[in-house]
Amino acid sequence: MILIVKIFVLCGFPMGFDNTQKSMNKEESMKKVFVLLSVVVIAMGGLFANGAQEQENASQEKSALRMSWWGGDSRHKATLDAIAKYQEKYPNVSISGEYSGWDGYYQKLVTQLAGGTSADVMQVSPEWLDELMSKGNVFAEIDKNLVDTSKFDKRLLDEDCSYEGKLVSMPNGISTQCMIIDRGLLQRSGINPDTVWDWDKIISMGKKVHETDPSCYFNGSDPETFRYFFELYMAQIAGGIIDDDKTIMCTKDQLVQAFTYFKQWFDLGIVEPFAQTSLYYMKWDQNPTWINGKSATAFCWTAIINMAGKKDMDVARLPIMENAVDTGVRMLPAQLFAVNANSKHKQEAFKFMNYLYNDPDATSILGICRGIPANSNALDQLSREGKVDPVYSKATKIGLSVVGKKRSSWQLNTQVMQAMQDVIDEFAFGKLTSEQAADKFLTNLQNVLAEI
Amino acid sequence: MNKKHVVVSKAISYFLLIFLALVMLYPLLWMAGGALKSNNEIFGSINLLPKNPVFSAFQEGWGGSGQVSFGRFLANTFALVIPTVLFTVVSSVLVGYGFARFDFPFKRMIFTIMLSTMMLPATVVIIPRYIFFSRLGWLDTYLPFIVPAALGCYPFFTYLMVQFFRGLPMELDESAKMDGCNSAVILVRILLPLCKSAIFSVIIFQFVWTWNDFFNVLIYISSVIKYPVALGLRLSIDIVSSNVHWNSLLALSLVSIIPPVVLFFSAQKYFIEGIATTGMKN
Amino acid sequence: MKNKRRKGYAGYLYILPWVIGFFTLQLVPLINSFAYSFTSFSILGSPEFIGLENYRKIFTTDPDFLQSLAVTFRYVVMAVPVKLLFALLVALILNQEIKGIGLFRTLYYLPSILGGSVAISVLWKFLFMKDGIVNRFLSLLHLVPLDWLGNPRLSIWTIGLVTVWQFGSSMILFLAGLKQIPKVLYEAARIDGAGSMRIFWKITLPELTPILLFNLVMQTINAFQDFTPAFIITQGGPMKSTYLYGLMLYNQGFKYFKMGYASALSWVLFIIILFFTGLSLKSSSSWVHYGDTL
Repeated sequence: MILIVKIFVLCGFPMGFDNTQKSMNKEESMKKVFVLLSVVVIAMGGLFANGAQEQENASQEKSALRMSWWGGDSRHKATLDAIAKYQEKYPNVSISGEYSGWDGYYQKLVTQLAGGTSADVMQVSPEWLDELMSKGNVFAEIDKNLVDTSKFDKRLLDEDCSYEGKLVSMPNGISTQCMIIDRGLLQRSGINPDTVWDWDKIISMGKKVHETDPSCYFNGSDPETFRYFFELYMAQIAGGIIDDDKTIMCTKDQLVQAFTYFKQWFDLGIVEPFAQTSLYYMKWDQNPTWINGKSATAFCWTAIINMAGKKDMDVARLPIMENAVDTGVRMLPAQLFAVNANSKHKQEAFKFMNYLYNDPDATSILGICRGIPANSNALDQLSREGKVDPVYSKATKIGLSVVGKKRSSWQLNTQVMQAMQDVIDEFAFGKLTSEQAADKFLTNLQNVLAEI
Repeated sequence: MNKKHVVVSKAISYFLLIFLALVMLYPLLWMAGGALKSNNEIFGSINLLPKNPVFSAFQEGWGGSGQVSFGRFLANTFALVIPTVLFTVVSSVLVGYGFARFDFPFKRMIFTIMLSTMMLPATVVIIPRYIFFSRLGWLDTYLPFIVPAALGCYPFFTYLMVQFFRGLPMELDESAKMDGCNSAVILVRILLPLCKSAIFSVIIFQFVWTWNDFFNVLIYISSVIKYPVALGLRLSIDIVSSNVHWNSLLALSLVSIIPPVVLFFSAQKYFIEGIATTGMKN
Repeated sequence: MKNKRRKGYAGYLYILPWVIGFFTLQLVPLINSFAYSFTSFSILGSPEFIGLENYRKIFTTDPDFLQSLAVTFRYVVMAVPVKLLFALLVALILNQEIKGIGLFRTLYYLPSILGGSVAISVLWKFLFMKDGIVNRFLSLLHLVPLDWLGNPRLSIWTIGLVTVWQFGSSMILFLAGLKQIPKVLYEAARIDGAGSMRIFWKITLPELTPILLFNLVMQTINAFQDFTPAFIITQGGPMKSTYLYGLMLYNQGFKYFKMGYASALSWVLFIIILFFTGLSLKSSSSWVHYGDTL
């Protein structure tokens, strides 16, 4: 509408002027322009303000909840179906889903939290919980009267869903760590696919993959998952890299030992060179080497094991050395749901959460779209319904059997991870010797830790 | 100038054009080929053409994600882009005219300020702007795109208009003034028709840029039902990307560039060739 | 030369939309961000004043700052001139009577229309990875295949190629500029017996200089802030060899929450860009030829 006004102003004005150009003087015409422009501007303001007002009114009629999550098509469909079912049961509540892919979700979440516009129920990665809560109490404490938490493992709730002793989120699915293996490729390289791996075997047997076929590699890590192996190794020889007090737990010698060990991975072709894999940083499964079946193993969180289109896939335990200080294998909720501390509909939000976790209908509809449920009733139900993928099951069992202690959130801090990654990258490109890498590693960490 | 010379140089021109076009377009041809391949074949092989063309990618992808179809995403993008473009044109013409044809106190300083805002990295004003828009209740609407366009926040286009206006001889203004026209008439009746090429440039650029905007739509638009294509395309990419149908992604990417391409193809004749000889002869 | 412009306050009216927009959407946020640059602000909490600490860090201890600046300079120095060169050459060729000219123009503009799409990241990796298309062609021609994206010394040029590939917008502007050159000038020159090279250097090029300046300034400004190709294709790797300044800024602000530091970084970039733009504009009086005077 405003558009029409503006166009009219611009077109209509000169036409009127033609007839009276001799009688009007310049001052009057200036005033006309000014007045018309002001009218337009003010009208614009009015229109926009009006629009905003309409929006507010609309949301006050029913209870309207907003829920945000990330995922792929199957998760979106399942969640939307679960929402629809809830709305059937409780017609006075309407829930709108704001869903997207993983990429950019975190940035959007942070911006929304900063602007006070996040959804009422939010899907959150457990690794963000500490960072986000420490910057300002963004998630509401779970009201245990509305949400039944009895069927969840208490340790899980305390360690991964709480902040400073308060439960502020609920866990979706369990995820632990394992190795995906390509049985076919291993067999063709003369390796027994059922091997229980440790670090030495990776060297002595793993190198056969590359030796048999130089275009193949034992491990298909990108620089990030390579770092996971590094951290795993460090957890086993030193207990970890950074502990809960923000101090560095490992010594320089231990680091040198680790770097020297991993150098063999590059020298013997156990892992693909970084020059090729850094293109797929954080996306190892998009690497053509992996897709074409030329990597025999991959480090993976169990909740995201993907088997689509890959035959001969199986899972195995991650390498663990004898006398390991800690296995270094992590377990986390696959994701969390949390309620916005500033939500105007907390009660409704908690009720809805309770439905998602404890209602048999919801459990059935959601299935394992968010991983193997952390709620024991739900897990039982899904097993009875035959909806639990056997490979997921096996992977989860393997991982859970060797779970180590919880990793310090300082080691999971994004800046700390980047500091470690940078040194590992340089080492992998051959710019640093093991000694130099160990030194730089420690120095970088000390600098970053002093800052955060 | 002999005929042979002309023919040879023409031939060379054609050859260069075609060769360069092929080189530049190879990536796009690959995309088109990929849209017809099966998912695994895309990363698996190097060939341009699919072994067994699969046409399902388009259809699969069109269903969009969840309950919203790709057609909706396209419609949304139009709803976002068209007002933005229109307001950009109006605002940059008005403001450009002001700077090019008027003198007023502090003009140089103001002009310099306007130019320097072009150099402002967008990231630095994102958060304050976001908070401002949220207080106005404009989140999850297209207003954070339209209003800045109307208020001259695209100094690029204003500068473009200024430069074009300045390329038009003042004599035109002079003679119109002597006939008694005021500034608005001069703008609309005399100068604007000569600036068609510039205006169409503004339209095309702003259309394409807004059509492709990713980061801003990501932070301002949160309901799937309002997603433009930039977000709609990424919707299917999961953390576990092997669930992604790459062929659909490529197919839909191609579909999503059709409107800007069509606009460009049809508008270009007008704005580039129409300018010819109007008003230039003295 | 007499200034023929209208004097008085009329000009203010025309620039009114911009004035409003400037104050509310640019100046105020800008002042806010300047204030933030002296704080430690993690978005979720409130800003904490820390004086010049951010700037001290930028200029002394931050290893990424210098790296990123170097990478960005390389990118700008390569991408902008090459892009403009292609744009100009192609525009000149297309300015003749060519059949199918509309088609050609659209074809050359297509890459720009693709923008920052996800598809480009897939495309570029596919073209330039170790056994990608480019290397296969090179092998066919018995040339040495290179590690376009994996070699830290080559990667930034490969990223720069994305920008150069998208020279469409500059080309359009040159074309429009070429069309606006009064035909009368060409006719006069032909009558005087000038050859095509002379015509180019004495007439075409000088007439194009305002557009050239515009393109140069705008492309440089944008190139300094670019981050999309690095973000979608290499994420700054390998080993930060494609860590464009825009990407670093984005990481600091949205990955690490350090809005105060990110604001400081953006102000440093702002000053750098101002410097180069000022340089271009100042030099312009000696080589740019306008139809009026400022």
